[in-house]
Amino acid sequence: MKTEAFVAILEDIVEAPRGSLKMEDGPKTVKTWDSMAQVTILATIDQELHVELSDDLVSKLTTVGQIIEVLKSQGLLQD
Amino acid sequence: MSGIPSSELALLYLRKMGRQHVRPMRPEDVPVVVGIHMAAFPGYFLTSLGRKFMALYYAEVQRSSWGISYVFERDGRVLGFCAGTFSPGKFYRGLFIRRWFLFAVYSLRAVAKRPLILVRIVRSVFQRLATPSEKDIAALASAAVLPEEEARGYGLAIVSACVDHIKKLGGKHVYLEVRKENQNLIRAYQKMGFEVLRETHVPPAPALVELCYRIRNQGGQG
Repeated sequence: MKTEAFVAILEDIVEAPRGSLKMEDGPKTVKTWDSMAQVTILATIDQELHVELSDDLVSKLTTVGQIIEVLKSQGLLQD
Repeated sequence: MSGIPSSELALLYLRKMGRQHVRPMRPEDVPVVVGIHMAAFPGYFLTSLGRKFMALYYAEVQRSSWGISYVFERDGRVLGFCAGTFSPGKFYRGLFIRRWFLFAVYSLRAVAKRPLILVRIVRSVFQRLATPSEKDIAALASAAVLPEEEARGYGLAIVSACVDHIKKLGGKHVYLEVRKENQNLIRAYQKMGFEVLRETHVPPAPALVELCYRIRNQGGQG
């Protein structure tokens, strides 16, 4: 999946306008990025990218940049 | 995309998290649960009654056959909990009859510091005693995760496990209350199937929103 397409999915989940999410954004900066949004993001990664992330990794995924970095390192996202 | 609505995906994922990380509370968890309560709810009414008061309360919930108590554990560390009871009115009447003396002793310090808190204690006791007693009604009195672990869905996973537990035991209604200002959490519970029932505001307590999850049949979606 293209990174741009994945970010668009994130924006849909957290109900952010298209193109508005920055790499440093996360639950602390986006008001609508709540618990359910975080669960939906993890569920989407699980379902759409067919990857089960470890608990340790999941606990560190709190910004757009961190999520993208991890998924890229696993070859699941392309520029 | 898989075609499964994202809201359903999230609920399935919550159940998966629950299977991996949520387990019934054990007696040895109680001090940790009290610590999480104090960290998550600084300045709240129950917190102001002190550590001993809360430890007695959570220990009673944990050991009661009507109690509903689960914790979220990751890497051997308890990060969150949810506690409640079936037949809340009966549970609190029994608790009050058996433990009133200890609760009174443990709340003395808080009363000595802030005498007006006595009014809230008395009001809270009557409110608890007036809650429904039907055996198919459950109330989740508190749910919290450590502040540094918030916004990861752990609390929702514990509540989801509690609802599943209540379903298995034949519960029909699950009640819980959320501070009105916490709109994100209210929305999250609504996505889980809870409905907003009413708002209550009795100053100086903050405004609360009461939610209910109706279990229509065994294995149903609520």
